[in-house]
Order: sequence, then C-alpha cells, then structure tokens
Amino acid sequence: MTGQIVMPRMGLTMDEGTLLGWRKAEGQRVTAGEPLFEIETDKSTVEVEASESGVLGKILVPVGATVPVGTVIALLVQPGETSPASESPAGMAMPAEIKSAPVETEPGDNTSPAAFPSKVRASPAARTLAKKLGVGLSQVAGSGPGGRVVAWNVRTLHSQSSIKVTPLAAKIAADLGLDLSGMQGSGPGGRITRQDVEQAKTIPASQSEVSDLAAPSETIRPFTHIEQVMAKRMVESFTNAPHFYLHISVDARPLVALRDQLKTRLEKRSGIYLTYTDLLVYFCARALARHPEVMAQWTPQGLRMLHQVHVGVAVDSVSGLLVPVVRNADQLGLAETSRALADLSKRARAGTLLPAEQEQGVFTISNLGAYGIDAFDAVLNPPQAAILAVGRIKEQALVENGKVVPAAMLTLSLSVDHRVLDGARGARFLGDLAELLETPALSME
Amino acid sequence: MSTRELTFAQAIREALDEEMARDETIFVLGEDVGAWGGVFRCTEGLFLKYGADRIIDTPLSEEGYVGLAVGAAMTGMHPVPEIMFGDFITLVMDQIVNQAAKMRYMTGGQIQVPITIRATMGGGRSSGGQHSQSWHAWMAHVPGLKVVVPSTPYDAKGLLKTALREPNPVVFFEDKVMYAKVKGSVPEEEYAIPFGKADIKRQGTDVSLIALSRMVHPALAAAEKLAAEGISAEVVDPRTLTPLDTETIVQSVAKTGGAVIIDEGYNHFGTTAELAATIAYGAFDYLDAPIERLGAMDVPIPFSPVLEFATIPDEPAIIAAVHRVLDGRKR
Amino acid sequence: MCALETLTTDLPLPTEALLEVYRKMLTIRTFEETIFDVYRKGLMPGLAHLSDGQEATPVGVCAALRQDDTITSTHRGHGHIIAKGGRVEPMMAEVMGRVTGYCRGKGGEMHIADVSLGILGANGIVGGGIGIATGSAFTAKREGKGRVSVAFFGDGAINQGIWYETANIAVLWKLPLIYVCENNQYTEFTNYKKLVSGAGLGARAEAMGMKSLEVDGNDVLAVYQAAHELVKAARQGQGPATLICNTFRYGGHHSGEPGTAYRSKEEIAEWKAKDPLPRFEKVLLEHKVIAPADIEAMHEQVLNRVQASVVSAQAAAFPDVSEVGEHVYA
Repeated sequence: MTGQIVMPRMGLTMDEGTLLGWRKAEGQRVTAGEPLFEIETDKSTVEVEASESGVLGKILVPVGATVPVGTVIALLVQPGETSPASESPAGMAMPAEIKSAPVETEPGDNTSPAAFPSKVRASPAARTLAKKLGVGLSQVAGSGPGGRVVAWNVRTLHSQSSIKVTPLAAKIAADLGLDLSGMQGSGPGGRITRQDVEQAKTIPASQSEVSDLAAPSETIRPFTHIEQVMAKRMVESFTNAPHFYLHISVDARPLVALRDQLKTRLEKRSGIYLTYTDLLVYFCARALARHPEVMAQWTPQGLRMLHQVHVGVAVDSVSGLLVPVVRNADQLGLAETSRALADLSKRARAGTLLPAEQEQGVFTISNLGAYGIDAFDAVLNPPQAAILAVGRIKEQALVENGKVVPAAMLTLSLSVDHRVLDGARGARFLGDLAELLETPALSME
Repeated sequence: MSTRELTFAQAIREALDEEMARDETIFVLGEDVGAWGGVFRCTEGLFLKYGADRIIDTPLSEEGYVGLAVGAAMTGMHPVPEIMFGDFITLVMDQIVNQAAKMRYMTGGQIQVPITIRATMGGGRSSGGQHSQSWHAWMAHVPGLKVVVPSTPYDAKGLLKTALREPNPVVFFEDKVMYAKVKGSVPEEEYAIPFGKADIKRQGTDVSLIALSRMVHPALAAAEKLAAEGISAEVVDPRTLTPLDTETIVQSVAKTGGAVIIDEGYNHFGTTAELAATIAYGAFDYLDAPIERLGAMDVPIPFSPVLEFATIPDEPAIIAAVHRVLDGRKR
Repeated sequence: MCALETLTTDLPLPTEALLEVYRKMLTIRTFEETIFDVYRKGLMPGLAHLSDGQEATPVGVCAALRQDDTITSTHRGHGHIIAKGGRVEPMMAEVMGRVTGYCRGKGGEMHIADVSLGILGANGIVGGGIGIATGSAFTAKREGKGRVSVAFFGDGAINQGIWYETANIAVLWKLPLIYVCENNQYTEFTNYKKLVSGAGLGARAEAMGMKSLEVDGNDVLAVYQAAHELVKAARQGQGPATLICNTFRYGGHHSGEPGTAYRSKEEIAEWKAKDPLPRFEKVLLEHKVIAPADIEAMHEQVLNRVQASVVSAQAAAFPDVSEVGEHVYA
C-alpha cells in the first residue's frame, strides 16, 4: 500500500514549509523514527522523522520549494511495489500553488535575469566553486543582488564547515582546487593549516588516499539541524549586515543594590528568582520603547518599522543556542518579566520551545557573564538591527570625585547594523540604557 | 628611446607621412584633404610634401571616390580614402561591403584589395544626429574587413602604419574629439602595432573595464577614482575589433570575475553585445556577476549638450556600473 | 551622337582578327544556349543571367582593347568575359560550382573574374563595376603606359548614382575610362524608356563634359569602330567617354523566366531579325574572309568545345568544405 509523506505542521503558526533536503534517496529503505527530510519554517529548521517504515518512492516536490502544510511531498512504498508515476491517488491534496523561496528582482529592471522558481540563483563562478568544494548551493546564503550566491559566499560557507581548517588554508586550497577532505591537519585539534595544504599539493592523489586508510585521524559528524540553522543565519547576518560595535562601562552598583532590594521579596512572595538578565530585559525594553529606531529592520524595499517590544534572550541548551522571545516586554512589570523569562528558558533547555516562541523578536540580549566573560561582541540576530552583549559584573577601580574607589562595573557591548543605525543613534540608545541601569528611577518617567 | 608628446591627429599624420615616403603606391583622397590640410588637420603639410598627385582633393562624392579607391586597390595601388564624418559610411556601403570586402573571396583569391578607409567617429561636439555616430560595429559585422579603433596617439600611429602595409581592406576609425584633445607620448623610433592584440592600459584585480576608442579615457579616470575606494579596476583596450584579441579580454574577466564594457557605438546590437557574448562564452565559469554593457543610448544623438552628454557613457556611469558588478561580492 | 555605316570596301580589322571576332561571338552564343540547357537539367545551382542576342557589343568593344586593358562586367557577364579572352572550361566549372572554376566555386556565374586577362570581375550589384573601373583607370593613368579601363553596364545602371559620381571625377581628372552601356531595352521587366528621364544617357554624358557615341549594338564592326575611336582618344590622355550600344537579350532576365510576359512577340521577332551573328556571317562571306564550309566547321568546333566543358565540369570536384574559410584575407 502506498503511503503519503506530507509537509507536517510543526508549529501552531506554521502554514507552510520549505523543503530543504532529503536524508534518503528515492528507492532507499526508510525505518520509522529515523530522520527522513528537513524543512524550514520562518524561524527554524526542523528535521522530520519517518512516521512509518518502507521505501522512499517518488519525490513529488523539488528541494527548495515552499508548499502548504499537508501537501504530499513524496510517496512511501512497500518493498516490491513501484510508486505510481504521475497519477494522483484519491484523496491526495494537490498544492494550490507552489511558491518557492522569494527571489528579489529590482523593480522596473527588465534586463535582470528572470526569476525561476525552485532554482538557486548563483553566479557561474559560484557554481563552479561549489561543485569543486562539494558545497550544496541551497545551503549557501547569497549576498549578491536579489540574493544571488556569489563565489565569496561559497568560499565563506565552505571555510565554516565541520572540516577543521584555518581560513587561509581554506582559501589557498580553494584557489589551488584542492580537496580538503583528505588532508591531515597539523594545527591545534587537528586543524588543517596553510603548511598542510602546501604540502598536500605536492602529494599525488593516490598517496594521500593510502595514508587515510592506514590511520584515520578524523571523522566527520553531520550537522544537527540547530547547528545548520545557526551557521546559516550567522553567515547571513555577517555577510549582509555591516556590523559596528559600541562599548560602554556601566556603574553597576545601583543595579546590584536594586537586585538586592527586590530579590528576597520576590522569592518569598512569588517564588520568583530575580536574575540580572531579568533586569536587563526590563530596562532594555524601556530603552527600546524610547528609541523605536533601534527596533527597525533593513529590507531591500525600505526600513521595516516595528512597534512591539519583543525582546529575545539568548539561552544555551544542550542542543545549542536558542533565542526565546519575551513578548511586549515594555508592558511587563519586573515580576512578570522574570516569570516569563524563567518559563521560556526552562523550556528552551528542555527542547520543548515552540517555533512561535522564537519569532518576532526586535532585539536580543546575550549574557555571558555567568561564564566569567568580561565583555564580548555578539553577531546580530537577523533581521534585527541591534544586539546587546553583556559581560560579568566585576569589582573594579572606579575614579569618582577624583578618588579611586572599588565599584561593581558592568560592560555592555552593542552590535549594530549600520544600514539601519549610524554611530550617533546607536550611541544614544546605549547611552540611555546605561543611564537607566545607573539610575533606575528614570525608568519611571 | 626618445619620445615626444603628439596629439592624436599629429600621430595619424606622422603615420601617413612615414608610410607614404616608404611606399609610393599609397595615396590619400577625400574632401579638403589636400590644399586645406584636412578638416581635422590629419594631412596638414602633406600636400606640399607629396603633391596633388598623392594627396587628392575629391569632389563631394563619397561613393564615387571610395569606389575609385576600391578599383585602384584592385589594380596595384594602396589608396587611403578619408570619410570626413563616419556617418557618411552609409553613402559608401556598397563599395565597402559588397565590393571591397568580398572581391578576394568571390574571385577565389585572385584579387587583393589593399585599401585603408579612414573614417571618424564619436559625438560630444553638438554636431547633431547625422555627424556624431560611430559605425565600427557595422563594419566589424562584415566578413572580409579589418576594423581598427585606436584610443591613444601611440596606438593610432602604430596601428595606422600596420593598416598601410596591410593587403586587405581596413576601416580605421578615428574619434573626432581625440584629434586635438588627446595627447600622448610617441617614440621617434620606427614601430608598428600588429592587429589582433589588445592592450591592458591598467592592471587590476576586481573588475575588468573593456573600453573602445575614446572611452578608454573615462575608463582610466574611473579606475583612478575607484582605486581610492579600494577597488582595483583593470582597463582592457581591444584596439582592433577585427581581428579581436579574444584571449586577453577573456583572461582578464576570468581573473576579475566581472566586466563592464564601454563604447560610444549604440548599445542595442552594438560592439558591447559582441564583447559581452565573447566574455560570457569564454569566461563562463569565472563570472561572478552579470556583464554590464555601457554603449551610447539608443536614441538619435541629440544636439543640445545637456541631452547629448546624457547619451554618451561617462565616468560616473562607469563607476556606478562597477558598483553594480561588485554588489555583495568580496574577493 | 553619331551613327556609323558598316559596309565599307575595306573592313576595319585584318582577317585573323575578324575570324577571332566571329569565333568569340559564336562561342558566346553557344555558351549561353548551353548554360540554359544546363540550368534546365538542374546541373547548376542558382540562376543564370544570359546574354544571347547581345554578343556584338562586348566582342566589338574588346576587339579594340589590349590584354592589359581592364574591363568590369555585370551580372550578365559571360559575354564580356569570353570577349576579353576568358576560357570556356573554367567558366563552365564556375557556373556549376566546381573547385576548378575561375573562382574555385566561390563566386558563381555572376562573379567570374580572371585578373590575368584584365577581367576585374562580373558584379552582382547593378553598377557595381563602375567604381572599380574608375579606380582601374586612375591606376592606368598613373602607370603612364596608355592602358585604358572599360566599364560595361546595362540600361539599369543609367540611373545609379555611382555613374554620375565617377563620371564627374573621371572628367575632372581626365581618366582613361570608357563607359559602355549595353542597352538591351529592358531594366529587368520594365522598358527603359519608362525609367530614364530627359534625353537619355548620351545627353547626360555630354552634360558631364565627355564625348558620347551611340551605335547599333548588334553590328559588331560598328561597335568596334566606335570603341576604337574612344579608346584611342583615352589612350592619348583625352579623358573618359561613353559608348551606348543598343541591343536585345533573347532570354528572360534570368534563366527562370522566359522574358515573354513583358515583351511582345513582335518586338522579339523584330530584334531576332537583326541577330548579330548572321549579320556578321554575311559580311564575312561577302568579303570572302571565310567560306561557308568553314562557318559550319567553326560551329561544330565551338559546340563540341562547349559541350565538352560541361562534361569536364560535371566530372570535376566540388570545393572541399574545409576551404570555406579561406581567401577571406590576403
């Protein structure tokens, strides 16, 4: 009996999904529960397991296509059967229309290349390089006009793959047309360095194959879907948004005093454990409400202005980085903020966060203070225009009224998208935020 | 090696003088080339030196005197008819296209037609739609002709000398504005430049600017400005359209990954199209951006300067095109 | 404008030359008729533009020329080429597209040339040979050896601008150029009288400043004598002249049409009555230059030769495709 493999609903708000790739090929055996294909919703990439065993029959929807939830994307046959060639079995939901990942063309430009659904827009140079390096073009975020993948994007992605290689070694290997996947790495952790590449280019192919068989010194672990999403989004962020960074030292004594003042009450009265991150969310939300330009986002058509202060907080989970969003944080009191964030963090760590709960953030806070980090610069979380990186509160020497006093200090680092905000605007926001943290009463204005 | 600064017109004149001294079958004919010295001064002084026998003032009969030149070329002479405004090539199309270009082939190799037709090109002087056109694309489209488009005095002299030694019909295009306005160093020593060899006028790594005739100069100026932005532009001057140095052009674009083609001929079906196709085919795997074509706007060339200059590719247009080519790309 | 009498007690050429004139006319006639046959049998590509009926004009003119004098011809040029000494064999081969043709099969029947004989090519553009002939005259003057250049053209070219442009130059520069207009009465399918304004080419030539003669183009000796006079003057540096020869083509504009839709039977019959070949035969017989048996023998010789050229052309190879790109440039 031929079974149907459909585009699943993976989130309450999910209406459609993009088919990113198959883990099996047509004709291959499939076991229930094993990963079968991968889809992308607005926010996350999700691996979908096979719901029953069988043999993957005809794939009906091309990779890269976006189809509504419920669309039959492939057939599952039982061993010995052949799937029907092109007929539609009764009851199959035919997609009303097949859209593909949006391709932007310049308005009124009748000489730009035609938009062709389901084909990756990539330059010939990018294609040649992708083929040579074994990079799938659909994995690559394109920085060229209209999202075109250019050679540099392929090179960049390749150098960020799980093969441990220095960027210089990767470039040299790409320029020489050498395949990195056979090479020994002599750098730290088995990383392939420039010397390794230069040595490899003089070794004939057969020899390097033999040495692999004798003593394998590395293996390749396929990406998890979260790793893939993170890599894709970070590449997209870094290649599209010109980042600049603002740093400010904040006198954290008022903040520490505030927390001390409220912490015990909240614990006793409401069972809430108040964290510095809660306080940061609270004050950032107020600062954002006063600086709506920081919530704007760059699109090719213009700046998207957003008005609801949904603040994302970076959370580390066992499966990697997640960013749950505290919705309308400017309208939540401190207790509500703390409660909301505690719940989101817990579920994030447990892996039960819904895709919807990671969507629509306008700003992100990443706090690595707990890890002892003094300060760092974060990568923007696309399509947001700003992200706050927070280090630890540390006793430091502060010059006050001409005297050196010990004081708790906090370093805030704001990464900004220069397409959306210039230095002055970024600085005004960060300055105001620092002021709120140093003089919390101002948030009552 | 000693050099002097010559204008484009002076370089042309010198080539004519030297070759006429060397080869007495060479003679110049055209309107006002003799006693007047040429409307653009290219034959200045030659009339006195070589006489009315070899620098010949013709009646205003382009078809007549070019037809005569074709016949003279077929019977042992090397005539150099001048077409004062390249637009008038329309009047001599039969003599060039159906007679000169085809005689050798149609007679199975019996006949040779060593004729060098000098024609002007280029606008920018408010001369209006019928005195500003550049027809090198039309000529390059005709099998049997050789087409030359020099951009500097050095190239002009060297290429014209080669043309005057060439046993085949050559159409030699000289940009009017360059005659007096472009100066360059020209060696005193004997030299000639072979056809079919492009010249890289400026080395670069980020984008290839392929420019013809006068357009080489705004291309070089644009490259200079782009360098200040950190963009390294290579300027390639093909110098001859037939034969075309495909290899140099393709290799340049294979190196840089992007090309902007600049020409004063009309863009639609012009030389920009042929060069773009050549690049798309030869450098296909190395193209990282679509090829930009900057030809003259596809309108009859207007008279009023504000309109005329809007139709001719210039430095800002070249720079904008380079930005489009590099959009979203890094090395 | 002058008309010349033909019947004089002594003929303007020696016997040998007269026989050569006759042989050439006969060769042209036989060649054209044979080509028509070749065309009909599908043995040649394209079309043929035949000049049977017009033989006296080219032969008469060329009888006044030296080997180093040049001619340019028209799209209807077989007569000019044979008259100037072109050989039947490579001509037939060229018409049939063989590599043994004058132009290695690259020119075809409209573009035959033989530079060694001073034939600077038949030309597919009406008036296309006029510019070239003017250039040849220019060079001839330079050479100073008394060489002349002849431009053959038809009534169709009377109105082509190139004639006026070159005539002006030729007169101004006193070039040794003879314009020979073969007026066969019809510009393609239209009678020339409907197409030429004013007093016609002769008047126009005189207005441009050159001498003009008009003769019965089917009287080979009249043509010769007129041509001889103009050629002599040109050789002496007196500049260009125009010779108008009135004649008629028996066939259509090309071999694919019979030429009867636009010409009446009466007109055709009228001209056939003035056929240049029997007329000249009569002159030769009357002056005892030739005997009837010789005429018959010559007919047979020429026919055999032309027919043999068809056979040899058929046996010859076509050009190899590999040479398609050769001969573009020297």
